[in-house]
Amino acid sequence: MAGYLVRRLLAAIPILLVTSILAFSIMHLAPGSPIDAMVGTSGSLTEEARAVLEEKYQLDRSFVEQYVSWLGGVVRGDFGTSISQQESVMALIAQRFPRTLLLTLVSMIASTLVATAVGTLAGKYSRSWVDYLVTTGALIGISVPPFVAALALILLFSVKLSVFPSMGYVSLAENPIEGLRHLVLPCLTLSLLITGILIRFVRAEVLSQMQQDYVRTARSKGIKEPKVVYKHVLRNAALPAITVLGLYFARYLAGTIVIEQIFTWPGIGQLAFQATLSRDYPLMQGCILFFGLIYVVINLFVDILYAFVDPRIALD
Amino acid sequence: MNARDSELRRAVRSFFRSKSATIGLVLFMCVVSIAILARWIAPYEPLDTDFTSILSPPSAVHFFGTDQLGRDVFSRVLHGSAIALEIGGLSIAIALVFGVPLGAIGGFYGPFTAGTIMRVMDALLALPPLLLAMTLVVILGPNLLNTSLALGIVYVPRFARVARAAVLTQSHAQYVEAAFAIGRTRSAVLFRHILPNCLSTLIVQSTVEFPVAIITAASLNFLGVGTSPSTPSWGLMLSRGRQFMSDFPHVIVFPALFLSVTVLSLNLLGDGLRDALDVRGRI
Repeated sequence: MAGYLVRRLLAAIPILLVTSILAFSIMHLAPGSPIDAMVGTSGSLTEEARAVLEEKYQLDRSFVEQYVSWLGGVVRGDFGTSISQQESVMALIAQRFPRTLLLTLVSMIASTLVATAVGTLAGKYSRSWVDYLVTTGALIGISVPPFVAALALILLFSVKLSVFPSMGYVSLAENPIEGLRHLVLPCLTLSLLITGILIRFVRAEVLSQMQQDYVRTARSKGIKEPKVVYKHVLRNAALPAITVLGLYFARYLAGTIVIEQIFTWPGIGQLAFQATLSRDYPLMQGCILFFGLIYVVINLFVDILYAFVDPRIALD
Repeated sequence: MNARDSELRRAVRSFFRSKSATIGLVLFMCVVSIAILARWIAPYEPLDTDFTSILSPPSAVHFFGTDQLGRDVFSRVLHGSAIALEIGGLSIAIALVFGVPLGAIGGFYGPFTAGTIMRVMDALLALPPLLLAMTLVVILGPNLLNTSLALGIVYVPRFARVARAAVLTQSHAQYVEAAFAIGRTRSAVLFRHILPNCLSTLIVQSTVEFPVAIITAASLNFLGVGTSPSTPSWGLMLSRGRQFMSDFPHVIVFPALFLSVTVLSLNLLGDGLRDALDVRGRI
């Protein structure tokens, strides 16, 4: 077990390194000097001003030198300074991340609960009207793009019914009621997609588990049907579900850009988007690296969790 | 050849036995036809403005009404289908062309080559797709080709992973051993014998990623970083029309509907193909 953990940790390091290289290279992909991109066409630079800027952002050194210098800072927790906001990138990320985390976490928890309950029903009563209803619902959930669902929800709940606000963020700590009200629509939008995906997955898993021998054994032992499903089938279906959940959790921590933009939710997705628009390279690099980090860390965590739940994995 | 023929026929029969799969195929064929014929069946030019009839509701003159610049929504929606399918198709094609050989090599050649390739693929996968595509488009410039290229690059690792898994599975088959025995080179075995047998897996993966690509492309256009602002893409129609949606819902309802139906048809198609080809693909 310890060997497996160490191996997984070691395997993650090269991935993180390559991710950091990719994140860093973005700045240098643009044709022309990054200075041009940063300054834009708003007036030309004198030679001196250009030299000063180049030295400030270390652009006069070689690519490798710049990368090493940046990486050195990253390891110490210094992601550089944002050009557009003149603040430490790390500080900006730290400020914004909890809000995205809140949104994603609440959506995932809600989606998991609903999807497990509904997906299990659909898998158990396969080919019944319940199943068809659920499957169709899930299909619609994954087919309607998030921003379309968002607009529809805003139109219905915010404009016509005026029940929930369509914009902005209120901290739960400051004002729980308002905070929750602002949370509803973005979470609902995100949940629609995740629930659709999870329902299909749970249903498929439950279906395949129901055909296994141990189900027949359990039934012939006289175990009541609900217990068969919830205690035995679900437990076995839960294992691959952990992997899928972890994958999508990591994905949606970064994938909320569109939703945050529509609902003006000041999270890290919106930060990354604005950084991209304003060509704020240090901020862009920091965000991209941060997302990559989260993804690798969560996957690592999921793998380790999986190994604890199913020890056979560790023998790999 | 005989065995493969009847396998194909079996798959086709199995596909059409499923009602939802058939519906998906029919719907998708409709969308494709609309995209191809848009230029001829659209009553107006998608960029033609008419400031005398702004935001007018659906009528006999303008089937879907007009938008905030007086442009005919019906014609714009029709052209939007062509754009969506072009970007989606091109990006998947690019991802296939680059991802499959990379993944195949990663599954068949020595530990160092394979290891390096798959590490890079894993690192690419770790980066959020929308953000990555957005960054690439912003760097390359917002037009249809660059958006497709950016999305293609983003989806390369997904196809590489699937190709690698398929190749790995096939590499234990007897015909591989036989091919080596008669003296085939490693690359010939890979590309001439193994890959054709991975076809069904790759087809299924393509139909899974195609709708995702369309949604991502639409999201890019919605955020304003996809194609140029004058291109009548569905995503752009939705973002521009948002401010009018409470009083003039027709401006966003029709693009939204077409986009959702297109994705839905592809999902149905993909599900049907997966069941017919009997591939245990990813969700």
